[in-house]
Amino acid sequence: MSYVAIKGGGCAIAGAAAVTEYLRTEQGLAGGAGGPLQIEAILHQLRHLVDRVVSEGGVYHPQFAALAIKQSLGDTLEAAFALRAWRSTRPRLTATPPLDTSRMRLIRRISSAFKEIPGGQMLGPTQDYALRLLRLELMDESPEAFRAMARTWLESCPEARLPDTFPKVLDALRMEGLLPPITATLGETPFDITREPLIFPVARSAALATMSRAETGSLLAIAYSNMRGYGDVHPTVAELRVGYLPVLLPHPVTGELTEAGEVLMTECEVVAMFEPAVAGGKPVFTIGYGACFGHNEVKAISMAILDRALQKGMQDGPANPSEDPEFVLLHVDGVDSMGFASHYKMPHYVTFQSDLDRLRTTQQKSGDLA
Amino acid sequence: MNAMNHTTTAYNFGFLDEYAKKEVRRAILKAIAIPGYQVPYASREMPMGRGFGTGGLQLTLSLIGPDEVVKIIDQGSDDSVNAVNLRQFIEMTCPGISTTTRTTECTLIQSRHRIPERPLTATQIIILQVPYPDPLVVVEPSEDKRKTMHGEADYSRLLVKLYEDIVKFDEITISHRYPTRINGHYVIDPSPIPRWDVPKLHDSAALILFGAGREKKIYAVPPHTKAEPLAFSDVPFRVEDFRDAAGQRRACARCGSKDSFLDEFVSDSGSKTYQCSDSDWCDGQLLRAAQAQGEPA
Amino acid sequence: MNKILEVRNLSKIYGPGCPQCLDSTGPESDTNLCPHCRSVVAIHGVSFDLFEGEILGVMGESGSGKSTVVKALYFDQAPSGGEAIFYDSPANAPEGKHDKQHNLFALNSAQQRWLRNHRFGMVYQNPNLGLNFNISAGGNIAERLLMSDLMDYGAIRERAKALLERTEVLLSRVDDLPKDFSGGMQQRVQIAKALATQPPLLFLDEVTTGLDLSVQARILDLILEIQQELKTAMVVVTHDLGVIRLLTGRAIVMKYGRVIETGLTDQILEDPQHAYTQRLVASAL
Repeated sequence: MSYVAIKGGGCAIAGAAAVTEYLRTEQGLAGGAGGPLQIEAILHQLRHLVDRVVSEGGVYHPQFAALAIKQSLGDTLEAAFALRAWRSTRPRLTATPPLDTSRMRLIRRISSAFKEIPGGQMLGPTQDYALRLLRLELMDESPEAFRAMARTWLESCPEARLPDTFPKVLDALRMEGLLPPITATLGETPFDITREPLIFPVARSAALATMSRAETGSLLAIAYSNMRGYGDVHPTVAELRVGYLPVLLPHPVTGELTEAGEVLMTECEVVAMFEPAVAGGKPVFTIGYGACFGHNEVKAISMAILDRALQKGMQDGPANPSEDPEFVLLHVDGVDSMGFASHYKMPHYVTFQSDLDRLRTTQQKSGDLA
Repeated sequence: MNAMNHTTTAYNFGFLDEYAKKEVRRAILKAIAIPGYQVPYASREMPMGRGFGTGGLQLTLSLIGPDEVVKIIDQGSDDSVNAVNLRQFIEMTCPGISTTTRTTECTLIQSRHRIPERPLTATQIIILQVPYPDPLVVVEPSEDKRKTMHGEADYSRLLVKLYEDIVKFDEITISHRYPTRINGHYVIDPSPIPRWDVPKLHDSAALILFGAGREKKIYAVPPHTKAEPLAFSDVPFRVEDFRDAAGQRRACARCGSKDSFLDEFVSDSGSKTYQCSDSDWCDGQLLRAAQAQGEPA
Repeated sequence: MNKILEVRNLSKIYGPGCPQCLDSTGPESDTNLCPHCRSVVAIHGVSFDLFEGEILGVMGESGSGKSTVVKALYFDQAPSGGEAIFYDSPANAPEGKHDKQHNLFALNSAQQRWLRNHRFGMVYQNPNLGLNFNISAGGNIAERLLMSDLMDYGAIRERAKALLERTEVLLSRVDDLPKDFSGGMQQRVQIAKALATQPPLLFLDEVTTGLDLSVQARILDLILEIQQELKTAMVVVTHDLGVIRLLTGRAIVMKYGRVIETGLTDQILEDPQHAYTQRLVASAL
């Protein structure tokens, strides 16, 4: 008599992998018309997908993010996951000093607090005001039209020299005494969530880092709960900026800070309802901060709102889920939550057998009593 | 095959970088020093889903040496999909180690939901995969508060749950993940092992480690440590009952064993058969029976 | 008579506090809110003694700080300053578990929890605070017994039933959830729970407030009976002069966080000294 049911696991896994790989390459059957998706094409044409994956993966490696997207057939949770697992194999060799985001090479910058801001508003690439109409002409786009589009835009683009830095909107408010003074001392080591577990209560830097690589949808959902009634942050976007931030590292020989590269980032600063004065001070606005890799505006805004909500919760005790650091920070990680949801598909024969034993025994007992 | 090589050569022995392994080992030492205490650690993302044994795997990969003999079990079986998957991954990332299905031969066991029937020895370590490390989570959602409760060994709310169970059902209805007090202080969630396996924690010759990857905790029951399932003095802890309607202990349909945890199978016709959950135990029983009859195995 | 509790200069300030807080608040200033730093001086300089088997009343209007006093003593809220000594009677305390004398706010949280569970009892105005509404009435009492390491199911159950019987809760309801009980019944379950470990000291915070008059009277009778049977010392917090008159032998009167009058209850009610107490007594007539 053979051992029932659980033999042949290895074969089944290999088969599942093979059929998934078939789905990825299936298009190759159609008379050779379909070729493999090029990494470059993903990087450029599916850039927001790449942005999302570098952000949730917590590693700024757009090429590997594109590869992860390719091999996961476009599943963002899986792609961010693969990037994180790759990160686990890499030691942390160094850390940058805090980087000054006023030095970002901006592609977009807006403020909803003021009509005019120092340095000016810059709409940049956004779909905010696009009509969400299906562009049927893209259904069958010719390579010629595709190339012509880019060329025409570039040729018609006026030469303009952008300044190297843009002042922060918040700085102006701070000068006026409308914001709390900066209390954190420079050189304070931020909490590294990749090397230390969260033990509550956690530092604000730990909360920010956790949200920065959180799953976008999870972060949005909890932030949305705060926006629409389970909370009262009522934010104004003082500034939202998207651009390339120079990454500075100490030079290995001279120790001098040297630009080692740049990362595309989204940063959002919200100003929220003011707080009553503490002893000897005046009431001031409160601030929420959000920042993440890639161009992910909804995520940065959600994070800024939750940062503000969590600061409030840490100070006064949480009045709703979005102000509770444990609730927010332990439930927004995509790798954790998707993994656990998936694990329910694994065999649970033993525990279920044990459940059956308890139910049958209690049923029997209640039968005896009846 | 080329693709496989391309993937593997990019990784360190044991997948994790050495700093990560050291950190896990430090956490393990702390866990052994404070039996039952959940040591927080910075759990790394592994290339399989959280909940698929990433915590156990990090312990395994941090402890594994080049001459290790590893056994991987899921649901008692070495050949269930998840066990196969983990074993393949370990073989791929730890070249030179050997794997086995035999409990007697291994030095390191990673298991989900079962502890082998055959008593483990002082030269073996078993690592259990843990989805929920904290037994108090059923009565207190805040980790911060639970930490204080553990520190003060305040388990009354958990005990009230047992009381309420008896009131409602005349039985303690906890089937698996049975809260167990270690060394007279910390109560642990012994991972989703059945109650059948809980007594094996007590005074075990082998070191028992627990790894929760998603919840980022490591804890331990060191060798020869007291492990007492929570119960009342007049309502004792009970393991699963494998007696039939006539009160006879069911036997494994394959090897005839009457002292192992049994899996229940329902056939197409609706009839039930029972078999050992521990496949190595079952094979061993068959082998012994065959040898006793003088037949070749 | 032996002293069981000695409270000296108890204070609790919510907010950052400033050097002017104490001079700017209290009955003379007619507020407990510091105008300089917006801190609330909930109580300040509260001192009293309690003797074995005695019932002490703490009276005052809402905002007088009277509840803060018992919440600090029961370790619900850490005080900002002051001292409290609990003199445990060796006859009652289990072997080796008493120091006889406990400096309450110098204890660590585990020691405080031990005293709370074993030697003190609390009955709150809001039964939600004293009872877990999601477990049965019997389970609520069991919880307190389990905290004191009684591990025999049968014995726990017998004791829970006996306590509920003593507090006149129908035994048929032992396994029902307290959220389905009437207000008066919830208070009886709270009292039963508080008494489970036979504590020598009980705190009662507005326990009859909001109940029907007839229900109030029966609960007060029950409290008096218990005090006579078990010789439990009690601190009774209330704004209700009727409760003070019926239960307590001595009382302190509080206003804006300070004690303004203290003495025998009869004396305070018949011949109040402080103008505020005079108004209180007059308004109750």
